[in-house]
Amino acid sequence: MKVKINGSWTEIPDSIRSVAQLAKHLNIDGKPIVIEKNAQILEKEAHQDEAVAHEDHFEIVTFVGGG
Amino acid sequence: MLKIGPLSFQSRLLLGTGKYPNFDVQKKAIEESETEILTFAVRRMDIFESSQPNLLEKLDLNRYSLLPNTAGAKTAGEAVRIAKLAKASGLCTMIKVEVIGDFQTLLPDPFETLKACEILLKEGFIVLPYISDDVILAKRLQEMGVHAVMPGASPIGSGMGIVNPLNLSLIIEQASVPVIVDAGIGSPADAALAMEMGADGVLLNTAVSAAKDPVRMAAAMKLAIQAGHLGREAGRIPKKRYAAASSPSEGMSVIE
Repeated sequence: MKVKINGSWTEIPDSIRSVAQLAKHLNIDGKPIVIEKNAQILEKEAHQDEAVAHEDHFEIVTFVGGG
Repeated sequence: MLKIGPLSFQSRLLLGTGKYPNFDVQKKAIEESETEILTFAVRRMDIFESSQPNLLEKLDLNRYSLLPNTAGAKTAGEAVRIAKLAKASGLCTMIKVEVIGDFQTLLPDPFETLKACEILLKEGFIVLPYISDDVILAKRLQEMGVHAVMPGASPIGSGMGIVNPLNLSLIIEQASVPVIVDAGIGSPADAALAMEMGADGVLLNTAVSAAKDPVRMAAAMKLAIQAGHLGREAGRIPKKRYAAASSPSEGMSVIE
């Protein structure tokens, strides 16, 4: 299926059902990240149950150096 | 002890994490500074470079409180969104509200800052707004319930030090919450002066990260802030126009 991640349309396997699985697929599970799905911020605990569907929009942010 | 809302800190130095030459120098500078509060920005992750190490993965997070900023926000709405994203990480409760109103000077927009603080306070954040050295704005924000005010000494990254000591001293005099001087500090002397003036803390980034030797500068800033704070508590002597001898004038032997 096709989802938009950080502004780019990306093809991901149809077997990905949850946000937690998406994070694992992207190799970012366990990293200090926050995921927003369709403009809705997801708490970490929700990643397991939150579904991923065709044409969903995801924003994935992290902490970077700043002052 | 620096008290921000329900949190207490031994160190009065808040350190930014931007623009260090590399992770190793950054880690050593952070350690040398003995800071307990680190500032970060919130940005889109480069998911195609997710193997790149993140500073947070290299730090013992039990030793630090994270103070993410809302840098990049131009409106209250954008600042609130960034703050909520930061909080959803589960790694922080404090937020540095930074809403830039002018991209040449990077001076904060007071109206949007005020609005953002109002919303975030209602949402239960520990709110630390970065502001210009505006006495009335600092007062209004305090009345609203912010947990500290962070007036800039001079524009971000300029290293000009305290350009308006009068305003800064007026903010400090009327403050009912900690005043943390944020932005524009260039040297340890600037940081010491801010503390001597009565600031409760100093937040700096570029002065350390862009120094020739960031690790030594981190140590220098730590000591300068401690010295300035100690000097403030000790109470400086008043300035006089003429000399006042330190040695007694009585009991001198006559030399002819």
